[in-house]
Parts: sequence; C-alpha cells; structure tokens
Amino acid sequence: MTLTDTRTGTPAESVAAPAGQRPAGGPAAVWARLWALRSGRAALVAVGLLVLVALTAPWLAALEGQDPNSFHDTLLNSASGGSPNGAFGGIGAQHWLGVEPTTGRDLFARLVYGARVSLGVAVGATLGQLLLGLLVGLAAGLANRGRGGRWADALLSRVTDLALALPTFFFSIALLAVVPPSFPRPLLLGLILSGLGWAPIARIVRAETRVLREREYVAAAVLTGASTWRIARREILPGLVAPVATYTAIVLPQNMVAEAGLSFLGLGVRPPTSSWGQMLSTATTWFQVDPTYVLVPALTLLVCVLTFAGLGEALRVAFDPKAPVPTRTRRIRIRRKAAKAAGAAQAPARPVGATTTAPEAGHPAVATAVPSQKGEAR
Amino acid sequence: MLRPARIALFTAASVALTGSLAACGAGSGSSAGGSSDAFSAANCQGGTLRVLDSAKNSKGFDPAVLYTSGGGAIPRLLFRTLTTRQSVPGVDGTKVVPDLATDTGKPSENATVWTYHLKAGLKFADGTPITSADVKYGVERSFSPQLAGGPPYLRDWLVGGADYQGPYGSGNTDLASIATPDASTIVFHLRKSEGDFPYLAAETQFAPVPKAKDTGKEYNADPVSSGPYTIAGFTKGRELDLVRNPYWSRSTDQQRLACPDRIDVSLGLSPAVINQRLSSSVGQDANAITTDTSLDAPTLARVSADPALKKRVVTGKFPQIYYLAFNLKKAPFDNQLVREALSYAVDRTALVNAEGGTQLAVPSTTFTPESLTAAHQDYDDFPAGATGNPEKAKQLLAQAGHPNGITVPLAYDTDDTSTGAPAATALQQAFAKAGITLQLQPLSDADFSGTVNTPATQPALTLTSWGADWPSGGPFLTPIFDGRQIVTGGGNFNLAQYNDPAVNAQIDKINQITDYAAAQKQWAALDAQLGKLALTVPLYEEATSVLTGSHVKNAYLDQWRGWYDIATVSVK
Repeated sequence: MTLTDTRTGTPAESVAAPAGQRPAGGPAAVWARLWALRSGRAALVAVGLLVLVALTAPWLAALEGQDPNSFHDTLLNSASGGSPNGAFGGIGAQHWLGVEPTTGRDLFARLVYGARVSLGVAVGATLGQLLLGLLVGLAAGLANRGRGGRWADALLSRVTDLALALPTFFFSIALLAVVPPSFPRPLLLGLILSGLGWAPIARIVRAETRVLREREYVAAAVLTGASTWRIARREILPGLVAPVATYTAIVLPQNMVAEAGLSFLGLGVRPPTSSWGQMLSTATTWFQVDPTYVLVPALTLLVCVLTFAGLGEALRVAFDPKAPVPTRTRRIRIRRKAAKAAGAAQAPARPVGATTTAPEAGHPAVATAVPSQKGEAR
Repeated sequence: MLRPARIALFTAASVALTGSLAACGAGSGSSAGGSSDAFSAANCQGGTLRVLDSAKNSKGFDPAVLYTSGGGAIPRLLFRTLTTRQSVPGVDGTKVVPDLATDTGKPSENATVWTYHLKAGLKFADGTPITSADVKYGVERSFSPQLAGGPPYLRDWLVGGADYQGPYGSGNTDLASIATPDASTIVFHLRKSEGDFPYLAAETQFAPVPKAKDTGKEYNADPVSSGPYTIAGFTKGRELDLVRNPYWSRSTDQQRLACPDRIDVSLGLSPAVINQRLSSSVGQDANAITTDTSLDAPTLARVSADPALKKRVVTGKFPQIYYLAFNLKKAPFDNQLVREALSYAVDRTALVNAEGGTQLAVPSTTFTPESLTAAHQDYDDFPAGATGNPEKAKQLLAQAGHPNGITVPLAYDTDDTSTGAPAATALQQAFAKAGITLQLQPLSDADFSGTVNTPATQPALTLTSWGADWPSGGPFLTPIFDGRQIVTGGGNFNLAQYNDPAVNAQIDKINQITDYAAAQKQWAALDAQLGKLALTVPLYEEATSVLTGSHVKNAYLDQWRGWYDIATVSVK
C-alpha cells in the first residue's frame, strides 16, 4: 500500500505521505496479527464458512436432495395441527434439520438459502452505511478549512445528529409499510437500513478526520496545493481504516438482527423466500410443540452475530489504534503484543526476549511486516 | 441501536390476536364439552361462570351498533329479539325460533309484509313492560348515523329505509314502514320479497329499547336489559360483570338456560394467556370459557398430544368458504378454460395443512360449504383430487392458448392469518407444477378491502373468504353472484363482476319463498349451476377448536355461529 503510494504518486505526494505515519502498518501486518489472535482466527474461519454456505446454497440443498420451496404433505401429521411426523421436527437422512410445520418444507434448504438473504442484506446495508457515513463524516471533518466550511460542518453534523435521533426501528417499519410490494424486498431492506444507520459511522469518521488533518503530513499535502478530494482520499482515508473496519464488524451483526427483526414483523422478505428472521417469526408459536423448528434459525442467528462481534473485537486488537506512530520502542511493543497474541495459543507465559523470535511461532508475517514498514518510514 | 427482540415479542402477541379475532365467529357441529358429569337442564343453576376474552369490547353493548350473527354470544344474554337461534347442538342449531314474538313471523303472500305478536308478560330489567313500540324504537335507532355499525340489510329492505336518518333530531323521526297497531303487534313493510326476514329479526337491532332510557351514544355502557342478565359493572376494555335480571321470566324464554348466577368477563387478554389458563384450569379458571379465542395450530398440536386436555376441546364450523376469486373483466380469466385450469391445479391438502391441519380446515369443492347444510349440494365439476391435477391443468391452459403457462398476480390479505401468506404460498407451489406462476401481491388489511372491493382497482386473482350473516343460501350467494350488487364505488363483493339477468331473476324468485327448506334447496341448486362456470375456486372451510375449563358443562358450538352458546353453559 505504502509502496504503491510513493511509486505512483507525484513528488509532492511522496513527501506528504510518509508511509510510517500509517497507524497500524500495512494490510498484511493486520491480517497477520488478526490471524495470530485465536479469536480472530476463529472468527475469520467462521465468517468464511458462513459466506461459503450462502454462496453454495443451491449446491448444499442439492447435496441434501431438497429445495427450499417444495411442500411435503406426507411428512406432516395433519390431524395434529400440521406438526411434523417423527422426533425433533422430522430430522432424518432426507431432511437434515427436519421440516417446517404446516408446509413440510425442508428446514436445511431454507436455512442455507436464508443465509443469502440474511447475510446479503446485512452486508449490503453495512456497505451502504459505510459509504454514506464516510462521505458525510469526511465532508464534515474537512469542511471548515474553507470560508463557508464551518457552516457546512455544522449543517452536516446537525443532520447526523438528526439521523442519530431517529428511532430507527420504527422508522424502518413505517418506510417498509409504504413502499409498494412490487419493489424487491432485500434491496429495500438494505436501502432502508443503510439510509437510517449511517450516522454513527459519520460521527466517528468526522472526529477521526479532525484529528488526522492536524498531522504534519496532511499539512504538508495542503501546502503543496493538493485538492481536498485528494487529501481526503490519499491522506485521511488510510488513517480511518482501523476505526472504521472495527466499527463495521460491530454494525454488521446489528444489521443482521435488524433484518431478522423486520422480517419477524412480516416486513422483511416476501414468501416464499426464506430468511433467518422470517424463519424465526413463523417458528416462535411452535416452541412448545416443535422446539427444533425454533432452535435451528435461533442458534444460527446467535452463532452468526457472535462471529461478527468476535471479528470486530479481534480487528480492534489487530489494528491496535493506540500505536499510531511506530517509533523504535513502540514498534517493539507492537511486536511484543502481536507475538504475545500469537504465542498465546502455544505458551501464554513466553518471556519478553522471545518476542523477537515470533516467526518461529509459525507467524513469519508478523516479524517481516513490521521491519519492512520501518524501512519505508525512515 | 435497534432492539428488535423486544418489539418482536409484542408482535407475536398481536399476530396471534389477529388470528383469534379472525377465527371468532366460526363454527358448527359439535361435541359436548366440559366435565365428565352429566348435564341436566333442570339442575344446572348457580355458580359463577368466567369468560376469558381477547376482544376488548371497547365499543360496549348498544344493540343498534352491534354486528352479530343470530344475536351474538354476550349480547344474547342482555338482549332478547323478535326471533332467535335455536339453542341446540347440531344442525338444528341453524333454525330460527321465536323469542319475544309468539312465532317467527307471519309473511304476506309475497313475503314483503311481516307481522309479529309479542308474548305476554315481557319486562325490561327495570320492571317496565316491553311493548311493540320499544321494538320499533330499537330498529329505528339503528338507522341513526351516530349509531352506525350494524348489518346493512334493514336499510336495504325496509320501505323508506334508504333515506331514513333515525329517531333523533328534528324532521321525520318515525319510520312509517314499521307499524305498531297495538302494544303487542308490530308489522314490517319491505320494498321487496325477503323470505329470510325471520333470520334478520334475530339480530340485536330487533331488541327492544325503552325510549325514556335512551341516552344515544352513551347507551352502550349501560343498556336496559331484556335478557336473563343485566350489567352490574363494566369497565370498557377490561371487565364486564353480569348478574341476574330479576324481571326476566324463564317461562317466556325457551332458548336461554341461564344457568350461572353471575358471569364475570375478563376482556383484552392475550390469546396465549387465555389458552394457557383454560388448559391448566387452576382454581376459578376451571369455571372458565372463552367466547372469541380458538386454538391455533401449535396449541392444537400440543393439546392433541395430551388425552386429558383433548377431552376438553370442542370443535365446530361456521359456514364460511375460503376461495379464489377471478376477475372476469381481466385477462386471462375472461377465458373459462383458464379458470378451469386453476380449478384443476389447486392442492387442497397443502392448503388445509397450511391452515393448521384437518382439525382447523376441511377441503371444499363447493362454494356453499358443507356446514351450511340446508343450502349445500355436493358437486366437483373440475376434480383436482386431494393434491391437484397439474397435467389436466396444463392441457387446459394449452387449449386456451397458453402452452407455456401463465403468470398472474395473486392478491391476499397479509393481516388475515387464514387467507394470508401460508395459504398464498401453498397455492403458489401447487400452481407452479401446472406452469402457473403466481406473483404474490400482499396487501395490508386496509389496502385489501380498498383495492379488492373496488372494481376499478380489483386484481385479476384474489384469495379471500365469505361467510353468511345467517345460515341461509341467500346472504351467502347474493352478494357474490347477483349482477345488481356490483358496487363500482367500493364495497363490492361480486368479485367475478358477473352479471347474468337470468341469474338475477332466479335470485328474486327464491327470495319470495318463505318456506326455509324449499328456499335452501333452490339456493343449493343455484350454487351448483353457478359452479359449472368456474367463477371461483372454492378451497376450504375453516373449523374451530376451543378449550373449556374443566368444570364447564353443556358447552357446545352452535351451528349458526360456530361458537359457544354462552346462554346454555353451566358451571354447576
């Protein structure tokens, strides 16, 4: 990242963007530290699995030999409220997680197809929030450089406050209710969630931008006459990666829960499409008769939200925003931390001296990434 | 940031509530419910009956405003009407019998003039005698715009009813088409033949109201009772306490057993709470029933698994058909072959399961359901079998010029748990097998009636239901198939927009028949005749299952309303 900057940039820029100022090192270093964390590794693997499940839903269902929308009358006890035949909601070799009461639709197929909607809406909404939040936050944070800029900052900040003050959930309900049913629901859900949820990101970005723009390298860029857009993109944005990435991982599960909540209220996806929230909403009344039906989507949602929350926490540690300027001593501290994290899995009480040998612990990236950064910086 | 979980809990309750409200008013054939001790009408008096209801009854009990079928449940304890439904289990429960009147009414030659004589010795709860003028005044009040809410028939049937504005205010305060030649005689003059008039006379609009005690809009909180009970305390939306009316005479009332000394009604309870309290039957809940909360599929599944609970489940049917309505003014349903194709493709087993299984729904191939026994004639012109005949449907579609199938929108009411998403999804998957792609068009309750019941905006295909205000083929078929009932401004129920002068004349002819059985036979024949045109696809009729407390006796679902006849329930 830093290399690219200096190579392709103008001379002015290469002065303005000393790579060493980047708070947490290159992406490779972050990845390495994330991987070094046990929780980070687990979260990454789990997220990867979830995405894989969502992407391969049709093949997974085909593997089971089912599809999410076929009814199976013969699997239901019609005289007993349409509850599934057999123990645990009809779990068996044909239907791995049982079938849905009153329809006999396969729960495994609905679950994996539901992952597409639930993850898709959550990721889409988060990206939308990110985009809006970054735009508004950067604009507000950089605005009062100019003459009328203070007004622009005040205006954008008040708009952000307003968006923060909106009761998001009730607003979503109201909006979802008025949009004509022909509009694609997952897209609508994504739009509404991102349109109502960008404000916290904008606030964080504005605050961080105001801090970053006082830095010498930014001042240097300003002196060389770089445009505001260029400063935002080349100087400020890289510095925002750590807080924003961390916050994103926190917002994503919230969006997932929001989609589930709205689908639960019947405002989410339209039948016969399944999402985890939709599954949960139809399942709740059955919890005494067919607990499997409730537990399947509930546990999935729980695991998913925990995973992303764990990823958020791990990212925070990996970026270590407390060490923005890697001086010699600080760098050692970083390496020590990373190594400690890396070593935690094998030997928690590793002596300090051993940190320099972190590569031996099986994570060469940690050791190599940091010196290379130093080479660039000084 | 968001707290959907908490909101979700609230919604679960309200969704269930809607379900039970929709179910309220269903029912028919019945088994005796309640405890194992034998019930004896002679020895049933005493005790306090508890009623656990989810409805709030916040509008109170004004006989002019109530919209009941056959007098309703609790209103029937307070108001006697000219006629009433017969309080017996089974098909005889659909019969109309005299109540205040000595008979069910003497019609003129062409059934346009109906004469009633009141029994002797009838009294209000304040001791004043009930006269024909009180009955006339009660009917007149229901025309008042400030007391709107009752059924629309009186305005349509009575001479001068269309313009009459009720007894309040200046101007003409008297409806001339209701005559009271003496204190015990009342005569109704109708503008057309209506053989079903005695059935209408069972509704609360025909309850006597003493003019001196009328408080207009305030009357709903403390109406003057003519029935076996009177209101001792009423907190709108919370509770209603009924005690005996000392002036009610058992000798003039053959229908209401009026067993309990007191009836305590709790209002606005959650359906889940009601069913939980009834199933555990702890303490006073053993003497409890409900007048509006039936078992949903999950609760039914739980109760069915417990033999002790299962004994306390009472089932019945309200004559109501769930059906697919074609709009004949819109392609492709102007073509009968396409309508027949859909009739063949329908999978009634999946629909019944979606509704909650065989205890909550029964498939029906006829528009007039089997539970409307007298007006029912079996036919199955387009046999779909239990799970549909997609091959035959495809063949018909090809004949109609759609060899590659068709794509049609299906409008349904999202707030109706019965005809809502589960049924629509079941139809969608069955039709897909026949090359018919249903695009689901969910509408909220308010939008649904606005869109579907206005011919200009009515979609090509609608999933909806129809029930009768009283057990007769007349109110069941007329609004659906009478071409003169197409209302362009909204509130139209002739969704096929079918207008055949020959059929209209046939309807007029049947309305002139005053013999119930003969008229019903004609209605049944008309239904079978219309069935051949595939104007609708009848799907299923709903059944009701209700729990009773363990000490409750003689609880059965009457076949008129498909609900408890609360006037015959005993806790002794």
